[in-house]
Amino acid sequence: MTMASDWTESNYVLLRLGPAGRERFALPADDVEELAGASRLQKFPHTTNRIDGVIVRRKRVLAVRDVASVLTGRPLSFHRFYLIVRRRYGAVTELEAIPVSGDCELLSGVIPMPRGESEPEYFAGIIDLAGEQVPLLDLEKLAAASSASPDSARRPA
Amino acid sequence: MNGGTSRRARPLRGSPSPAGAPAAQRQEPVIVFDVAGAEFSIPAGAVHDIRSTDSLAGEAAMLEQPDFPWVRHTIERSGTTQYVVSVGTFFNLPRSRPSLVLVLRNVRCALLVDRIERMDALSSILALPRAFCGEERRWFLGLALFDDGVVPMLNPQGILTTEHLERLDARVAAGAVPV
Repeated sequence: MTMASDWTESNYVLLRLGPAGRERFALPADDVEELAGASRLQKFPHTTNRIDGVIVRRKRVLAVRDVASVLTGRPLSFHRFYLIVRRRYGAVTELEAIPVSGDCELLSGVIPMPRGESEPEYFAGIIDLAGEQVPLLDLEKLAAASSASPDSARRPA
Repeated sequence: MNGGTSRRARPLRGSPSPAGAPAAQRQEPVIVFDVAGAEFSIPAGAVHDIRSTDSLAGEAAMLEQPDFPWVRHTIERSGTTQYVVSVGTFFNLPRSRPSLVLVLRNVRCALLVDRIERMDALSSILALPRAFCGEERRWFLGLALFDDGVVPMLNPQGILTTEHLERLDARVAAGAVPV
């Protein structure tokens, strides 16, 4: 599934994590490039927390970020897709891959609610889906939180 | 040295930036080597000499020091002490059987590796994605993209820092033990 790139700011992408994709989160559609099939994860030594390795996509090397550990408390044991997202480093945009459990959905015309005070900073808001409260993620804050999250799999410094 | 070109490097001219940005434009010969099943590469021009570990037995001195367990030996070259870095220990890789030492040019470092996989030529290397923000930014010049995957390219100047060298020099001054 390739996401259209001309969605408005009121569009969101619903992603699934956890066993059977039961835990759902949303990202602004503007942050999402596409949904890609599972590619070969390639690893090399590094010390950055919550980066699993890289995948090669269209001759680009994309870092693979484990956000499931931050959002659900455990890494995905199995993933079917990578959600390719746009990260911003100052004026530079770079693509990054997030393993997700299942297919993603486009949400149109939904209005997020503010997050509660006790919610983590990487929740930008909450989207109500037929009574289910789905956290809307702030990708940059989530990436910062994942980098700060201890990761036993990394190479010891 | 078994330096055959078993795999061809992809031409990468025009790769987009930033993660795909070419960090070098001319064709550069690279050496791809293996340590404990993990592949690394290094610009061939950075390597002065490739020696077998056996051939260094009479020249290397053991360095007993607790600070950097990946440095256990030194060699003398042109009146300068070079520190032999076990790449496997440095990167916390599974135990392996190193058989070669890559003596590097212009740095006081030599690399203990298992074997040379091949030599190749790259028109460019890919920048490390910015998501990587740890020591790997010092260790690697970038990523070499081959048909069957990416291989990190070691930065010859990024393995031992000035601080490492100062502390190792102090240990050497305290006395190395000949092997």
